[in-house]
Amino acid sequence: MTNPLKDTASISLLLRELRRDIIRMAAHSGHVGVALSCVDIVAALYTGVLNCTPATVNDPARDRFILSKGHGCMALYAVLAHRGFIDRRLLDTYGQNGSVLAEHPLAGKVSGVECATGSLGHGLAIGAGMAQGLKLQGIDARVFVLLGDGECNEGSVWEAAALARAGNLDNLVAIVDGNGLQACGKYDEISPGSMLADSWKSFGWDVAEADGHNYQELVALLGQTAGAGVPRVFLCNTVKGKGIDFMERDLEWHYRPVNSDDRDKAFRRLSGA
Amino acid sequence: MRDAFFSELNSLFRHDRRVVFLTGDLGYKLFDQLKEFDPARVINCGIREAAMIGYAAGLAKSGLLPFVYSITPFVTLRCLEQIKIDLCYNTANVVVVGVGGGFAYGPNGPTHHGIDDVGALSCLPRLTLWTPCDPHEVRLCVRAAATLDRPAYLRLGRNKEPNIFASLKQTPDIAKPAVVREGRDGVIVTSGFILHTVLKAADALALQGIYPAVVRITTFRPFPAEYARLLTAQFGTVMTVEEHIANGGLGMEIARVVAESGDGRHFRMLTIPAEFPDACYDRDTLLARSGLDADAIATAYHGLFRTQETAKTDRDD
Repeated sequence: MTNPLKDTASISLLLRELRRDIIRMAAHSGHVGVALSCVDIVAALYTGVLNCTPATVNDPARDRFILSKGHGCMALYAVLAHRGFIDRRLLDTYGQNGSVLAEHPLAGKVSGVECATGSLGHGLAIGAGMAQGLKLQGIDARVFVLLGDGECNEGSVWEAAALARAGNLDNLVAIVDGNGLQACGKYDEISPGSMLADSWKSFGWDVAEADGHNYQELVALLGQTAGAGVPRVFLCNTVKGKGIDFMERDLEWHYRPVNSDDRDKAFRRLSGA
Repeated sequence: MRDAFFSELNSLFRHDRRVVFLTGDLGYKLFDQLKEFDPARVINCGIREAAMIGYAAGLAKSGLLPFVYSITPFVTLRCLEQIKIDLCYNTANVVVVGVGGGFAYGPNGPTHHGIDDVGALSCLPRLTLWTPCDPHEVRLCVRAAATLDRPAYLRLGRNKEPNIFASLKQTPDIAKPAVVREGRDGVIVTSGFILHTVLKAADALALQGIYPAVVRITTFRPFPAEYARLLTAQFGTVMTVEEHIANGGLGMEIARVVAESGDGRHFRMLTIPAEFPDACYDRDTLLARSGLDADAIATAYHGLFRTQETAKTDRDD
């Protein structure tokens, strides 16, 4: 069962530790800013919301989580290691030859990864199908899908949104990591005039907002499903690169590996230096 | 084939509660029986093929057995990446059913033709690919789907395909290639419901004293490469016929076997040219224009066989 952290000191410690893991993993790969943007959401889900533990990871009645924005997987790996789904030592192999921890989650290789993702716009439909399947079998479990705001460019996201509403999937929760930056520019510039809240509302979803870096708020909110028959989406305000000041809101860190100087500097920032 | 599919699915649907039927808003009235029996397991996903495939993957991952139905191009090329990632890579036991393979939707035009589905799908790992040749075989494919632990594609014609095998009992195992007609003068290998036309061509050839064997391959993936190797080693003349373009299809598979054998078989593949037709045509006309009517098949085989005979005579001299 979930065991959300209560006191601010241990919350802060956990979130710093996860960021350290991410910084270490990113020595040879990009996407560090992406992982830092969504790690607080993933941490809140796995420690305070999801009814899924290493012991129940294959239980048909478990809650499911799908990281549809698969390129944020360093955040997921760090959290899975923290929760004991995978051995911590695996994190050191991230992105290396022969490792099961690829730069997008592989299928069927990592305990706690429900499905492979990485090509955007797939996760919500799969999650909706899972939610529908659970309902059909009378299983009282929920499915959480984390998407990027950039990912919402994909038409298949909206096909899935419509399907989920038609299926009355009140056991489905979508979470949008709204860091406002996609691969080559700002979300608002690439989709001018597009209001994500209005888009989700127009598809019949229950729309809520949350601070994507406020652990306690996330734990309190994400587990709340909407009214009967309605899927819910949380639009989370986040900052790409959150927690490492020189990485925040800088597209460079969508791509740049973290060399040892950057790493030491980042660790100093995390220690408050 | 379509009626056989729905009839067999209806039986499976009634005794296997894992079966869920998903349609991309096509098949008017065809799934009414399913809906009457259990409406919760019949889902019209709307005209949203990409999400429909993902949705089916999720249903499969939760323990169910989805069948996804639409017209061939919409449920194959339209959502190819979803088939690749959601179904194949994630190993979801979903049966994708394309109605109207080949030129079955002839006058509807190239938007509705399914002449490149096998080629597009045959490059995907883990996907079982069925191209049944008559309604009995369609039933066997649906039955085989019940025990699949990975995705499959079922290529249907429309609804006019005749029974080739006299009864379900006399229908050969779909998992293996089968000799549909014995022969001594080379072999024609084919796949899918164009088998009916190939048999007509074999009849025409018989009138000219040429008796090729006819083999049909229904399970195209995994491809029966060893069988094909033995078959082509046995016969001096080999021709393939398919209602599909060359890329990724039966002819190329057999050509590879022939080429790798290195013993210079006389080989020819008959396929649909990779072109868009210049006007509206029905299936028979499209096949004839592609050199795939019975007369053209017989003529092509006749030419190939005679070349081989001449070569043999030259060698003997």
